[in-house]
Amino acid sequence: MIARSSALALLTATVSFPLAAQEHCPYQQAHHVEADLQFGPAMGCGGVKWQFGNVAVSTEKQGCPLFVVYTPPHDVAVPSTRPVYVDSIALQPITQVFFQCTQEWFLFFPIGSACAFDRQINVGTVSLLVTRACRESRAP
Amino acid sequence: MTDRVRSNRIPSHLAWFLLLPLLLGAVLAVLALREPGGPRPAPPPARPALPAEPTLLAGSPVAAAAATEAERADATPAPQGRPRPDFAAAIDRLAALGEATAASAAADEIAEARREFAELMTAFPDAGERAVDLLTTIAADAPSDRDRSRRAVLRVVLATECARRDEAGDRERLDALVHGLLAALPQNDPTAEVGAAVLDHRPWLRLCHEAAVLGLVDLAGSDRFPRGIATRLLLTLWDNLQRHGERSSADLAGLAMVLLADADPSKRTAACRQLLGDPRHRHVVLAWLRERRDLAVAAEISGIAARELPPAEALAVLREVGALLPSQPNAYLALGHRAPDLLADSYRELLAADTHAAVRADLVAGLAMADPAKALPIVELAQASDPAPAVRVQAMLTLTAAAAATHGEAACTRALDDPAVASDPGALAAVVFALQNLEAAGDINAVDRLGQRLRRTPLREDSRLALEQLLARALPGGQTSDARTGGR
Repeated sequence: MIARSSALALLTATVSFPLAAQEHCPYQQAHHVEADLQFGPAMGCGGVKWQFGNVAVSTEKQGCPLFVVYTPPHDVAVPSTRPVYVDSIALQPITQVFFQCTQEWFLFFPIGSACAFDRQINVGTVSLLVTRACRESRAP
Repeated sequence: MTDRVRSNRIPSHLAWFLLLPLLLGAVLAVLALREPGGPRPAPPPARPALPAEPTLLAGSPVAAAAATEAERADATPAPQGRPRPDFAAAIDRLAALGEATAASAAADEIAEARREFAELMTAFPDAGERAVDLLTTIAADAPSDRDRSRRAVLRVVLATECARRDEAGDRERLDALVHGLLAALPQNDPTAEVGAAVLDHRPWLRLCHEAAVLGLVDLAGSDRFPRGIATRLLLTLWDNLQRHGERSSADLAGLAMVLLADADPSKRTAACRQLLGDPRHRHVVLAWLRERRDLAVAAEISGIAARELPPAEALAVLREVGALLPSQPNAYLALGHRAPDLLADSYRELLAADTHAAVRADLVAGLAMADPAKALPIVELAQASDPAPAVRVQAMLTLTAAAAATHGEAACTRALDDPAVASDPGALAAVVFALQNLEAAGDINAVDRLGQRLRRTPLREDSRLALEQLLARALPGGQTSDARTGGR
């Protein structure tokens, strides 16, 4: 009797789990988005060379940006035709780096100005996602 | 946190360093001859006059002796008949002299450069062709300062030559010069940048250059030419063709639709910009996007719209693209810088309807770029009232970014009091980022208090590492005050 009940429970679990998972499956997969840089208005004091993650930026031609917003490479969840869902494995900050024009001197002669780092803040977040099959590990 | 691997400041007037030693010598000579308060008195008898003052090296015994003597002289009353110069006035005079010398030298240099440039352009009717030839001889590898200066001069020569031929109505010679320049551009990146500076947003590219420009776009597709420059030249060409009636708007839209599906990003970007810029074709590109569901093009479109379209139209495009690409905080940040009020109004509408939580989070992110005085009430409303935890977390981050000193700690405390945040390792990672903002604002006491609370939360391993690194930087020995006092 006990053995029959256990076997029934096992069978029910085996059959019902994937079905329930399918019902709750969001059908979403991870889509990779490349890094993005947005430049603020330029100030007239030369340019700057800066490293954002793996992206080296030179603004020698465009002048000194008031700020640069760097969105690192990340993933977004997009609709999928397959029974999959996305799992967030890490959060990354979207950073805003501010620059300012600083006066340069030789003794007491003003010899121009240069573009210099001012400060850096986190203004948003993006996620790193992985795509998993719904029946793989997700409970109903 | 993004690593800042390398930073190089680029002074805008390097040439001054060549000129200044001469100017300094001249100014010091003038100062030596023009002491305030009348002529220089005779030297004291104990120190015989020298034929010439030797140069004193800083740190040398002679310099030290001279300094000591100067200090003594400063401490003693001024000699009879020579009033003591007012120190602040002397400093002011030197400051004015420094400014005047710098301004006068700059004006002289500019006048001389203008005169020589005009002579050059008069002497060489083929200055443009000569400039292209010379441009191709400058090596791109290990360029010297002089190479960079040569390119800058050649760029001005080329721009002036194009304008001169255009004013003279010499279209044939202008087209030939532009052809020659386009042919030289693939040689190296600095040459391409000179070409872009001469041709981008200028009326020189015409129908006869279309094949050459598309050739550069093809080279960009195989990474043999800078993509950004190829895109800009193609857009300039299209703009000129339309303006001069060499191609109709419909022709260009058709061409852009073909390029929209191209795998090459330069062509795609140019196509997106061409189609989005014209309200008559905007719905065409959005319909194409809905049908094809191309996410790369979607990201391209939202970025261009946020940066270039009128704000209300940009927001409509972002909402449309949002159906395909739900999270696009970078586009909303760009739009937030241009039209913060629009984002605030849009957020209020969506909050009232309780729809589009992902868009609400992006709108609140974009408000980080707004004037804090205007944005703070709406962001505080978002943290207090929005039903979506992701929006409340973004509101906390926006408050610490926009007003760390006044609103930062309270925002983080509210987030940690929020059960949906305190039990979610993903949301807690955002609280660590917010704490980095408080650190950047110098609010060390808040970092101490919030650091203690965060240590007791279920952080992910990477977040815990980031928190400990932050505390090590901000607090003495990386210890929070409860650890220092043994929990008393």
